[in-house]
Amino acid sequence: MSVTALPFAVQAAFWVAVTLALYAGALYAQRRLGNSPLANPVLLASAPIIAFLAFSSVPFASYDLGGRVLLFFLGPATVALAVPFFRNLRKVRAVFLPLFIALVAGSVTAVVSAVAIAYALGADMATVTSFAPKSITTPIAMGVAEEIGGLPVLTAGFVIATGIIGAVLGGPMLKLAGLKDERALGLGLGVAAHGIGTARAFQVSPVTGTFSGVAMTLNGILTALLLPVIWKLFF
Amino acid sequence: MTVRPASLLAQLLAFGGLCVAVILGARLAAWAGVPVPGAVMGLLLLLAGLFIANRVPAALEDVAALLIRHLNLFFVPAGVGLMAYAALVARDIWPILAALFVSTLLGLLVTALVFKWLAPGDGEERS
Repeated sequence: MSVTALPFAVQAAFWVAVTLALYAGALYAQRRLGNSPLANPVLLASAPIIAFLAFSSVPFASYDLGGRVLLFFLGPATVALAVPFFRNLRKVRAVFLPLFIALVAGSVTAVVSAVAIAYALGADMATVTSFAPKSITTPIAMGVAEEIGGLPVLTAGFVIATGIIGAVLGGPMLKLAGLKDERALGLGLGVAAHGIGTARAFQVSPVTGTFSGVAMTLNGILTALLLPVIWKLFF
Repeated sequence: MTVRPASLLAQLLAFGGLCVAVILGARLAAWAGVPVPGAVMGLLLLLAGLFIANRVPAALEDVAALLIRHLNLFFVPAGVGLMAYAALVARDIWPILAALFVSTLLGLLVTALVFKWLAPGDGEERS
C-alpha cells in the first residue's frame, strides 16, 4: 500500500516522524564528524527524502503535508530569538555603536554584492530576488523573500549555502587578513553567516559566539524592516 | 537564579505565548501597512516585553532555547522543497556560486574591518 492512500492527517504524521528520525540521524552524523559546518543537518536530513521522492511515485504534495506542520514552528522559533538577544545585548553594550555601524556596512555589502553579481551574470530574476535576504537567519529570510516576491524555499537554500561558506572560510580568511580580534570574527560570522556562523563562533569562544548571535538577530531585524521597503523602490 | 526547571504546563503556555506573538505581529504589520514578516514583528513585541519586565521567565527561557537549538529541524522541509527548483538552480549555477562566495566573504570581511577600525584593541581589556 502506498503512503498516498492514507488519510491526510496520517500522511502528515508519517512524514513528520520520518523527518524527525532523519534529523536525529543527521545530528548524530554531524557530531561524529567533529561538528563540521560542512555536515549540515538540513542537507543530510533532506537528501534521503529528496532521493526517495525523486525515485518513487510518491508526490511532493504528500511530503508537504508533514512539511507544513514543521514549517509552522518557524514562526514561534523566530519570535524566540528575542530571548538570547535580550540576554546578550547587555554584554555588547560597551561597543554597541561600532558594532551597529560595522553590521550595517557588512549587511549592505553582502546584499548589494549578491544581487549585483547574480544580476550581472545573467541569473533569472527569481534567482536574483531570492538572493537579497540570503545573509540573514533562515526563518526571517524566508519571510522577507515572500514580502519582496522571491521564492522562500530557494532563499532557504541560499541561506544555508551562505552559512556553510562563511562558517568554513570566514575564520581562515580573517586570519589571512591579519585580524585577530575575536569580537570582529564573531560579528562577521553573525552578519554574513547567521545561525551556522554563530554555531561555528561558539566553537571559537563564548565572546565570539555572543557577538555572532547578537549580530545575527540584529541583522535579521534590520533587514526585515528595511529591505522590503528599499526593494520596492528599485524593482 | 532558580535551578528548578519550569513545569511542562508553564513551558506549553510559553510556547502558546510565542504563537500569540506571531499572530499579533502579523496583525500589527497588516494594520500598519508595512511589508515586514509577522514573526519579526512578534520578535520585536516580545523584545519590548522583555525590556519592560527586565527579566526572562524560566519557562520562556527553556522553550526558546529548545526551539533555537533545533531550528534546523524546521528547515528540513525547505531543503526538500528545493528539489522543485532543480532546473532553475542548474540554469543559474554559475551566477549562484559566484554571488554566494563573493558576497558572503566580502560581507564578513567588511563587517570585521569596519568594527576593528571603530573599536581598536582585541577585546581583552574589557572588564
